[in-house]
Amino acid sequence: MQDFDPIEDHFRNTFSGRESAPPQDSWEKIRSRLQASSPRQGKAMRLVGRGRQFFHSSSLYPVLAVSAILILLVFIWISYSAKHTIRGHAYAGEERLCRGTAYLFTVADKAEPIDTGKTKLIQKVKVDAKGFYQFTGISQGEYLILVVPDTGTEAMKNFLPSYYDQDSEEYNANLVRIRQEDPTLDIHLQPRK
Amino acid sequence: MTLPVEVFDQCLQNNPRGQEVLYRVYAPQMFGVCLRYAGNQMEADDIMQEGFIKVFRHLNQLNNPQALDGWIHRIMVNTAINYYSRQLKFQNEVSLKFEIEDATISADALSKLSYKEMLRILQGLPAGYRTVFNLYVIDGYTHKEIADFLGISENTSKSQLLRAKASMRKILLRIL
Repeated sequence: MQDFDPIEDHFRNTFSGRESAPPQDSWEKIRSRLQASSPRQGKAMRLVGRGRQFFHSSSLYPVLAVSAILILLVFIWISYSAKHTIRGHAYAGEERLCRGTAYLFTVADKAEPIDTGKTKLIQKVKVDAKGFYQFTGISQGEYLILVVPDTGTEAMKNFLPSYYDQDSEEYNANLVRIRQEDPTLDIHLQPRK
Repeated sequence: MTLPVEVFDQCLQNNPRGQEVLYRVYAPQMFGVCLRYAGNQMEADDIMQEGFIKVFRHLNQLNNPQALDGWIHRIMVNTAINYYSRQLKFQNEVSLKFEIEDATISADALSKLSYKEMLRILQGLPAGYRTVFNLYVIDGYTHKEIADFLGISENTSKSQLLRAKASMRKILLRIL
């Protein structure tokens, strides 16, 4: 015969058949799950149902909307704040320019001359002995590039300071548009007549 | 508890109204079962929901509607065991000497405990102790049945029960 144990006895008497009110929303949760997994619905529909249940039952809409906007703003900021490099060679006729200076201007109105203040000098770099120049840290935008041979050189005697890609007049110069790419732009100096 | 035949039939046809009636009839009792197998109220709710989903999905496998009460109860217990299956680590040690307190606790002292206090003690036990205590003491399964249920030996079931009671006795001596 089994020994009487007051603990067993007391717990048995207390818990046997004991009822307890379930949480208010339990049935709604069960019903939603039953509907989402109804045999009449395919797997895709069940997934859609669960997705709807999640979004309908949550108050995440404002959070999701704000997050999406923030992500978009960050993406735009990253795109626009990305820095670019413009590089290339300057040519005096068939030969590369040996010595000179390259200027990079921003452009407000291409039709206006530089000295009206519609353009602004951004960078000034030396053109090396191989005719190579490079502007770095350039933001997206529109620019003009001017190459000027050093005074006293043969190139200065025979060629005019010229804008990309080969015009001595600023209003005829090609605009350089910087978007996502880092362009390589060769500049051909205009011969003096 | 007797469920009207038409409600049972509605449930077989996945009719939400019938399912809700069945739920309303059985939920209080089943939540009581889940509470004592669970570690807390939230887990009890999870277990009960999972259990009722199984009930509705497999109701067509119940041959005898008269056996519905016991069938639902078994599903809840099975669901609770599965819920804690990862936590159920049974030690095979069968030594009975380990932590048994000599002091006895009288039925009078125990009667001072409220349901909530007793539930807290039960829920505070490790999952393995709690499961065996529930199965043996409250639901009336034999150690052989528990051993089959949980895939353990009868001796392990017995030692788990002793450990459970020893733990409870320790707590009771402290609070009574």
